[in-house]
Amino acid sequence: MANEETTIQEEPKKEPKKKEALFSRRNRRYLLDPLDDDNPITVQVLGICSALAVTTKIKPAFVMAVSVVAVTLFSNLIISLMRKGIPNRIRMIVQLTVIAALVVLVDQVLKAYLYDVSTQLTVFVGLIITNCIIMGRLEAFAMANKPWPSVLDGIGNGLGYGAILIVVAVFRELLGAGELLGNRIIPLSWYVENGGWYVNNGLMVLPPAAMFLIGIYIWVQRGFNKKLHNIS
Amino acid sequence: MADTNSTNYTLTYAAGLIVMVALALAFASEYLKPIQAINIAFDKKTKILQSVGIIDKERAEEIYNAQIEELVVNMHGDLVDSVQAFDINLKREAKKSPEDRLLPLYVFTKDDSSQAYIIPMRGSGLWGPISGFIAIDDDFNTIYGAAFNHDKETPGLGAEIKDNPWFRDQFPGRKLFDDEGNFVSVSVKKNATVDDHTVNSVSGATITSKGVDEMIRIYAQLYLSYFDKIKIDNHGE
Amino acid sequence: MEHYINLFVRAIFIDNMIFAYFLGMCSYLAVSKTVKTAVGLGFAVIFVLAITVPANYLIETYLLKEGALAGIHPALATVDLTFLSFIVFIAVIASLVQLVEMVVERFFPPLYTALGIFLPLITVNCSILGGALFMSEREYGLAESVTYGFGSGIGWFLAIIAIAAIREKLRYSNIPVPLRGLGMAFILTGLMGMAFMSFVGIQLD
Repeated sequence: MANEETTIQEEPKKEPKKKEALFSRRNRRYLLDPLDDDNPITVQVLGICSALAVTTKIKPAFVMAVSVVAVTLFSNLIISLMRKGIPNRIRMIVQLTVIAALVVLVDQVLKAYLYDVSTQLTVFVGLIITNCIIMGRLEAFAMANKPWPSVLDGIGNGLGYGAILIVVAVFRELLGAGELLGNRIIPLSWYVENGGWYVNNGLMVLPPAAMFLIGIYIWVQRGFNKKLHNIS
Repeated sequence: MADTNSTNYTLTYAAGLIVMVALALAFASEYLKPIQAINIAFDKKTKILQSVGIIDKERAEEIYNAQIEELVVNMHGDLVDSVQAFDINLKREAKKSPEDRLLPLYVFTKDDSSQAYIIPMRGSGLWGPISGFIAIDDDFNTIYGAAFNHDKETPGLGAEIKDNPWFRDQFPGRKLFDDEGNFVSVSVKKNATVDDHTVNSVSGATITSKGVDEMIRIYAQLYLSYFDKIKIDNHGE
Repeated sequence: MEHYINLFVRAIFIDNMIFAYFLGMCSYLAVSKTVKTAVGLGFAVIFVLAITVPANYLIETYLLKEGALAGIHPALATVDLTFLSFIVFIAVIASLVQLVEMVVERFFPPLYTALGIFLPLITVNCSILGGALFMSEREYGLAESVTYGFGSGIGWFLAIIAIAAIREKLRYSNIPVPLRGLGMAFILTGLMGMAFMSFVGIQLD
């Protein structure tokens, strides 16, 4: 066993140029930075509309987060592979056509083979295509970087976006409906209608509540992460 | 590598991309259409059954064939035999003149062999069309049940009309006519006390709720002359 | 005429893209640091909305709708291309935005640098696609589309100017350091949105 290990370790040394490891420190940063220091929502200000629309309940927020990770991953990969050939003057149309075609295709396939999932997702199709995170990352990253870092960047940004979505959705569902993932948390007997003292916060289901919650999230995040103080 | 900024290159690239994307989408659309059509038809059947309170998806096909009868009527309340109710496109019918308009109707036979009349409806939500089925008891006044569907309403807000059983569970027992026999429909109102003609709207989804309100009012009215005819027939017996 | 004025006022205040539907938030929050850049982006959005809504109307009515192609050949009367409407709307918007980008880059270089990545991002500014989808769902005619596109653009313009002006003043306020900038902008938008909700009850027409 020991011999085998040494031979494997020696292999890279034989190569004349040393290739960058798949998860080198730089590559890890592409993946992890968007989770905090370079979060798409709270630092780059991308993808707010959909964050307001899908966070009234945890379930749609989760579906949206997963779909966005998948779409940023694949669109970053495809555009990064195509980046040298895209004519500059029509680059946005090319990017959007690729994203829209991808999303519509997936929707069509789901409609045929997984109808139930597709009825949940059809609603998101428009929101995913116009989600600025996807195009923002294509413009800012995939157009100028190799495929592998682009894939990592795509996953990282998708996850960073999803994390905020879920945090906001937890608060909105709990305070707005008294439920988490559809399970009742606040007992029905507490409610005023049933002789108790509790009322759901009606504001929580409206979009301004998401604005307040994200604002507070930013406050807390920047309270801990002093690097972000002077970025607006 | 060719000059990526030249006009010729740009045009060729754009043309190539459009052809490729169009082909891929057209192929997917054509190839998958029959499979999708089966799914959509099945979904419609389960929605029709949902409006009369049957949510058993596995036996949907069987129950549908056994207990639902499809009819087509016109504005005067006469039966039309030439078309299949299931294939009628409500959107297309809504644009026709009232004289030519075909109205599909599904008749459900309950286990106690009394009947409920299911009216298909179509209206507008915030982002796109909404649709639904409303089942009316054989007194042609009391609502037996309802089911709603939508294309692209916001999850947690407008989409609640479909996703949240709470909304459709308000409908059974509501009435279309007031005590004097005037058609008043069922209103969907914000923070309302539920009475014979009112149900509560989905909070935060004003426009979708208004769509449901209008949809019921418009479509229920279309069938009144047919209902009147059956009432007379029933009395005659 | 009255109908169009009502539609116009509705589009600006009651159906305000930002405060009633919360559409086009990303560029709204990111480019509202100073009034000057906000004005630039605001004009760009008015321009793009006023053009894309009618353009998409024409394309939908004369190319995509069922029966729209009947004029070319009677056999095409049953062709329904509405499943393409999404991708076509987006493509029309993207090409128009690209056009605007080239014009701004050529004639207003300082504005071009100030807007940065947010000019191309007008394409994915949800308010633009939202405008096209609302137009199609509410079945506006051509004149109505022009009015609606222009009105909702102005509504967006007013909203971004309002918040930019507040944010300029806020720089002199003593806000807790972590909340300064973006955090406060989010909370402000929420408050302004609540204020705008009072327009919802107004009935015009």
